[in-house]
Amino acid sequence: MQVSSINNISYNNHIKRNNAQPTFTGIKVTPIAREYFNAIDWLTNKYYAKFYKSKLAGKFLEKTSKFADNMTTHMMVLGSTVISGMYIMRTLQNDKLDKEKRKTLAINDTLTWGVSTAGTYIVDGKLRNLFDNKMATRYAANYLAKHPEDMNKELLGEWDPANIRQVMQEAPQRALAKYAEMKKTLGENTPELKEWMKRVRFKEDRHFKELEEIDGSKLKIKDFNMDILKSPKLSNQIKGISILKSLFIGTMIYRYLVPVLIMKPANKLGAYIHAKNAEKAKTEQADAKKLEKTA
Amino acid sequence: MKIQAINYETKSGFPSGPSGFKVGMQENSIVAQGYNANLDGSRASKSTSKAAVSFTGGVAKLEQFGEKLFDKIARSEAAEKALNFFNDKPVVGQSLISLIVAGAIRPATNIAMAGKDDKEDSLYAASHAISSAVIGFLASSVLMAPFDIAAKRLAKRPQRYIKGAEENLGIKKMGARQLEKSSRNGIISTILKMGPDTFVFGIAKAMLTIALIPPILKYVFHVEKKPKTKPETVTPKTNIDFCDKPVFQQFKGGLK
Repeated sequence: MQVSSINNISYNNHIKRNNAQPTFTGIKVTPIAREYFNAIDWLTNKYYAKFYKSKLAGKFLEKTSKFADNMTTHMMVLGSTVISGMYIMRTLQNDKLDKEKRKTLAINDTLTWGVSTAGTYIVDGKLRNLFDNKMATRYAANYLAKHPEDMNKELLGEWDPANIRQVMQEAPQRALAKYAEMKKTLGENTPELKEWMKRVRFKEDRHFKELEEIDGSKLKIKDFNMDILKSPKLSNQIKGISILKSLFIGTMIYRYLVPVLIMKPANKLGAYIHAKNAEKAKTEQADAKKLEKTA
Repeated sequence: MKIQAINYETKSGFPSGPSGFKVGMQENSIVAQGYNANLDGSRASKSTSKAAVSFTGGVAKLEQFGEKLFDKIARSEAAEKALNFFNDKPVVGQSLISLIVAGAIRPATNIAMAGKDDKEDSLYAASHAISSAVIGFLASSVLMAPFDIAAKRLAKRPQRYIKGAEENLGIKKMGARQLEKSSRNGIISTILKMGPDTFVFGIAKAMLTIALIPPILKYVFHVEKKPKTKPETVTPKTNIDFCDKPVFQQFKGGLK
C-alpha cells in the first residue's frame, strides 16, 4: 500500500479545496430587473389576489354574471366614455372659445360618443354568433388538423376535423361509453385506469360525471374544448378570436367609422343647411324691408 | 342502402356507438346521387342538383375544408401567435389596432377628404389621431406588461395565489381548469386586466396626446401655427389744427 501517495492526494485535494474559486452560473439580475420582478409579484399578490378574494368582488360578480360574454366590449366602451367625458369637460371649460362654440363642440363630442357606443354594441351583437361559434369552430377544426395530438383520439376514437360539428354532438356520449369500456377492461380505481384517465386529461371520476349533464346538440366549440378535448392552447386561441373581434369592431367604430365617415359629412351637411337657412332668412328680411318702404 | 360507420374503433375494439346509431357516407349514397335524405337515411325527394355538402347523419361537414383562404390563414403560425397575443395582452392589442386604424388609416382619410377651406382643421385632426395612437401604443406596451405577466402567472397556478376565492368565482375547487370554466372569472380577469388602462392610464395618455399635437403638426405635416397679428388700432386725433383747413382760411372774422 502506498500510503504516502494517498496522503499526498488528500493533502493536495485539501489545498485545492481551500484555494479553489467558486464558479457561479446563476442569472445576473440587475437592480432594474429585480424591481420589475418585484412589481410583478406585488401585482399578483396585492392587486389581483386581493380583488379576487374581496367581498366587493363577490357581490359585483353575483350581479354581473350575465355580462360575461362581451366583457371586453364593455371595458372598451367604459374607457371611451371616460376619455370622451374628459374631452367634453375640457371643451366646456375652454375660455379661448365663445360660449356658443363651446356648446356646439361639446354636443358634437357627445353625439360622436353616443353614435359610436350604440354602433359598437349593435355590430358586436350581430357578429357574435358568426365569430364566437361558426368562425371559432372552423378555426378549431383547422388547429386540430395541424395539431392532431390535441384531438383526444384516445377518448373519442379516430375522427376527421372536417366532421367537427358531428363529433361535438356525439362527444359526451362517446366519452362516457369509452370510460365505461375502460373501467370494464382495466378495472375500477386501478392504477392502469388512472393512467388512462391522465392520458385523456380527465383527472377525476367526477369530470366524467359532469359529461352526463351536457347536451351534445347544444355544445359550443368553447365548451367542447374545455370539457372534452381539454387543450389549453386551443382554449386560449378561441378566447383570442372573441377578444380580437370585440377590439377590432370597437376600435374601427370609435376611432374611424364614426369620426371620419359619419360625423364629418354630418357636420358639413349641418353647415350647409345652416348656411341655406341664413340665406333664406336674409332674403325674407330684405323682402320685408322693401314692403315697408313701399307701404 | 348500406351506410358505413364513421371509424370510431380504437385498438381495443371499441364499438362505433353506444346506441348503435351508425352514420357515414358511401360513394353511391343518397346524397351522392343527388337525393335529399331524411335523418334516418330514407329517400325523401329527388333533387336534380348535386348535393352541395357532405352529409354525415344530420350535421354537415365543413365545406371545402382546408381549401378556403380562411383555412390557410387559420393554419398559419402567425394566426396562432396573434390570437395568443390578443388573449394574453388585450390592452396592448387594442393599442396596436388603434395604431393602425387611428395612426395611419384615419389621418390618410382625413387629409384625402379635406376641402380647401378645412385643410388646416384636417391636419389638426390627423395630428391628434396620430398622437393618440402612438402614445397609446407605447404607453400600453410598457405600462401594461407587468399586469399581463401577473395575470398569466395567476391563471397558471391559481391555487397558489387566490385560494379562498372559490365562493366569489362560483367554483367548488380552485384550479386552472375550474378557473377557465368559470364565467365569473372571465368578468373579473377582464376588468382587472383592462381596468388600469381604462381608469388610470387612459386619462394620462389623453393629456399627453394633446401635448404632442403641436410637434406632430410641425415635424410630420410641416405646419406651424402662425402668431396672430394684432389688428391696427385707430387712435382718434386729439389736436386738430383748424387754421390748416381751407374753409377756415377763407373766413375773415373779427369785430368791425
